[in-house]
Parts: sequence; structure tokens; C-alpha cells
Amino acid sequence: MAYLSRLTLTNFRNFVALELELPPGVVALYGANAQGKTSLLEAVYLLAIARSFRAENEREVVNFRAAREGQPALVGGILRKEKDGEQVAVYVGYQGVNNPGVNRPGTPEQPAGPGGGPGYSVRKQIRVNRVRRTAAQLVGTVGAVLFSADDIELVQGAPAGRRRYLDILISQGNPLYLRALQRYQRVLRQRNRLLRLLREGRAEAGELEFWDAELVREGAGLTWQRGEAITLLAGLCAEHHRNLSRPGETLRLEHRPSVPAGASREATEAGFREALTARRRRELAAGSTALGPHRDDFKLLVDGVDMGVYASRGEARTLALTLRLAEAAYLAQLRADEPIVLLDDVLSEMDAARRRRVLEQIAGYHQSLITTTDLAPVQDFFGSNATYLHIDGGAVR
Amino acid sequence: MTLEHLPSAAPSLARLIQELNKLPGIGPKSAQRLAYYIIRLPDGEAQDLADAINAVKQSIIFCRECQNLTDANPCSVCANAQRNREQICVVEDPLDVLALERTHCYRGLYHVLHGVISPLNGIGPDQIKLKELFPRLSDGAVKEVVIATNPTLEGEATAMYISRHLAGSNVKVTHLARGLPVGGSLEYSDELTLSRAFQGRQEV
Repeated sequence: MAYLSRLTLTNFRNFVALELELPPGVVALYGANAQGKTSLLEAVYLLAIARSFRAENEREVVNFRAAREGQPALVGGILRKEKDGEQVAVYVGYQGVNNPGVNRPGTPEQPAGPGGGPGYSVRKQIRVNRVRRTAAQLVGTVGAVLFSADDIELVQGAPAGRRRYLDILISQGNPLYLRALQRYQRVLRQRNRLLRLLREGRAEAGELEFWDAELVREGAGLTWQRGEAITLLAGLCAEHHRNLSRPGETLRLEHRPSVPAGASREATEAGFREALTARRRRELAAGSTALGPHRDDFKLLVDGVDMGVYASRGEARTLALTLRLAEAAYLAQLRADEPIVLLDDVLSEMDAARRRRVLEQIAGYHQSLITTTDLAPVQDFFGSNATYLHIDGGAVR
Repeated sequence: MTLEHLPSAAPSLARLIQELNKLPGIGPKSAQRLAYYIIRLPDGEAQDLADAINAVKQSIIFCRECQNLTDANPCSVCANAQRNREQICVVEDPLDVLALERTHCYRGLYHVLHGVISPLNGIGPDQIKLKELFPRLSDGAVKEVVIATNPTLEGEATAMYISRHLAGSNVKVTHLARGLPVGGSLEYSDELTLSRAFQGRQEV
């Protein structure tokens, strides 16, 4: 059991200075649009996954006035573990840097400009209990699941979104996974560049050997771990789907790895190596890596029908909710403490029956933060068993 | 008055700041601070700095044997008759030689690659000093090559390239051990380091 007992924001989006004590249980954050409700959840989720879930470029999170004055943006949180009262302080800071273009020889001259201008970028600094950490070391410290209105893309969108869903889910349960993923991505970039150099006759074929071996080793590991995660997730999804959908329907999750997952990790490696060799000529022609976890996907099948293609908007919404509820259940099973559940304005688009089922599920978790413009549905369900905070113009009242 | 408020009509100062700013690890603020410091130096000292920069560019060359930076050719390590000529330790850059020399536990020769294989940066085996390494091993005098590249992906790629190239030759290829830092504690080391250390465990 763990919950976020304190959230401190400095120059984060429209919160210039905020110190917020949070209780366990259900916390409803209500207020009109554009007052900072989503930014609060963004900050909490940032402490879990070490990056903003909605910023195109993370420099956006620095309050524009602070950026202009060269001030940093800070997000701090205290995770309180109920069992032994242990507290973990997590911290993510963004220091803005105005690169006056002269900094890197060869890059086009950029105006030194005010903060937020074209030359402005941010350096991220992460600390856990005041010790400097990397993103990969932070992830897994605070467990969180975010429900957002964009989740429908998990069902109807491109495979990249589903890979990201899996990666965040597995990383929060197993800290080694993110390290392997980062290493794989680096191998992939190096290998792609080498394939292009080979195509242009600027490298020798023998140079591929190391990158092939690493691609296969890390890639097979990722494929294997994703397969295992999907197996566990599939059961949880089926269960939650029964709760939310029409009776009699069965949801199945099907892993569609780019490289077939074998009977074991070693078998997966062998299969990957073989498939890679078979594609050698095509890869050289294309100048990019044709196979591997960066091409994985999974399918959502309801009674055998591919919901990525055939789901109605309503069905897709229900499936997205299912995926998130299953994610929370997955983390509750694999982690020492339950995830914090974050609901970003998703209640308004549900019918009353689904809303009740979702809120019932949420109520089972140790802490959940819910943003909404309309307080009535939350109040009707939780009454005085929830905490209500009014968000207004970058402040909590 | 701080430098930021200096009128832009000081082109020589702006030029100095700009040049300092190009140095690794020197951001705009540090560049301004250094430039301000240099302005306040006595004439002689500023001249000494400029001379030192000029001299280093004119007299420093690559050692024809180990490729380390030197002002004598061959360098003092390669010229030293006391060194063990049967071992060559391959490192990424000259600072690694200094680090190993400080240990006083290695008495062999070195070979400095001046980089690692990294396709992303357009660096292949031909762009680092590898073609200078292999001829040094051809006369049979060298019995062991100790690869001491950094434990990064690119360092490992370079190590593997060297060991593959020497496979089948009479030269023994070894690699520095990876694992726990001395004085460290198991509890605080990360999982990857710990698993590497476990793989490289030794009989005691």
C-alpha cells in the first residue's frame, strides 16, 4: 500500500507554486476547463514514468514566464508506504537552457531569444531520496495508471501506441525491462545507420556482426517478456471486459510479435537470428531493420473479430477502459504496492452503468485522483467518502 | 556591471566568449565567466595562456607506435625499455592511458584508438586507429592484447571487432573485468552491473 501524500509543483505549466497534501482514497479534482486539472495528473504521472505524457517537447512543461526568466520547473512528490511508514521522495526538475546557436559548431545560427524561443531546450534532472537517478532508475518507484480520453487510440490507433502501452506497463513492474528497451533502441539506431552506410558502400559487411548479435539478444528478450506480459494481461482483460460489455462476449488478446516468440527465450533468439539472416538482402536494400520488437503489435479480438478494424466508437471506448483496468490489476499483482489510479476527464463520456462499474473498480485501489468538470457523478457515487479539491487558475482551493 | 549588460559593441570580447563556448562542457554562462576572468588577468598570464595553446597545437603529435599524444616520437612509454613488450592494452583515448598509468599495475604498452566504432556518428573501424594496431601484432612479439574500451554499447562493439579480427592468430585477447566498484556495496549497485559481476565471478 502506497500513496502520494504530497505533491509540490514549481513553475510547472500554470502552477507557479503549489504545495498539495493528498490523502489516500478517492480524490476528485474539479474545476472549469483550462484551470490545470490535467496538468496535476501530468505531474503525478511524470513521477511514475519519468516523462510528460502529453508534451510534444518536454520544454512545454516549464511555465512560460519562468522559462523567460531562466527559472527551472520542479515536480516533487512524497510516496508514503502505509505498511512501515517509509517515505520515498521523488523529484523531476527541468532546467531551461537558452542555446545561442554558437554552442554547437555546424548547427544553424539560432537567436538567443527569450525562454520558450527556438533556442530554448530543457535538461531533466531526476532524484530519488535526493540521489541523482536516471529515468530508467526512477520508473518503477511510483506505480501509476493513467486513464485518458485519448485511450481510444490504443484500440483504433497505430501499433506504436500499443507498444508504448506495453512498455510502460512492463517497465513499471520490472525495472530491468526499461534498461533492455533503451539498449535495444540504441542498437537499432546504430544498426539502421550502418545498414545505410553499407548500402552506400561506406562500410564493410563484417561490421554488422556485433549489432546483429545485440539486436537478437536484446530483441528476443523484449519479445519474450512482452509475450509473458500479454499472457497475464489477457486473463485480466477478459475478466474486466465481462464486467463492462454485453453479456456473452469474449475478449481475447493476441500477441503479434514481429519475430515469433519461441518455446523459450533461447528458442526466440535462434528464430530471430535465422529470420534476420534470411532478410539480409532486403534490409540492405531498404537501409533499415526489418524485424524486431520495434515492429510488434497485439490484437484485441472480440468473439474472433479484430476490434482494431471493426469496433464502433462506443466499443472502442469500452475496450480502452478494459485495457487500463487490466493494466492497474497487472501492476497490483506484479508490484509490491498498488498503482495510483489517475482518471483524466473520462467519466463524462461514459453511460451511468459503466461509470458505476469503473468507479467500483477504482474504489478498490489505495489512491485515485479523478479530474472532472462535473462533480455530480463522483459525488453521487462516493458522497463523503472522497476528498474534493477545486482547481482554479493554477491553484487549489 | 555584469557581462550580460555589456553593449554588443565589444566584438573582441564577444569573439572570446564565442570561442570558449565551443569547448566541451562550457555553456554560455561559463564562457562569460572565463572571458571575464581572462580580461582581468595580468598581461603576462594572458599571454602565457595564448602561448600554451599555440605550443600544444604545434608540438603535439601522434606517437608512431601507440598513437598516443606526445611531443617525442616514439612516446615515453613506447621508448621505455623497461616496459613489457608482450602486452598491448587498447584504450579509447589518451585520458584512459593516464588513468591506467596511475594504477602502477600495468607495465605493458598501449594503443590509443582515439574513438570507438559508432555508425551513428559515422565512425567505422577505418575512422579510428585500428589499422595502426594490427601491424603491431604481426611480428609475433606481442602475446596478449588487453581490451580496455569502456563498457558502453560502442565500446563493446569495438572490443568485439578487435577480438574477431584477431581470432585464429596467436595473440591472446583479453578484456577488463566488469563488475562491482571497490568499496561499493551490493545493495546499492544496479541490476545490470550486479548480473555482469555475477557472470564474471572468480574462484577464490
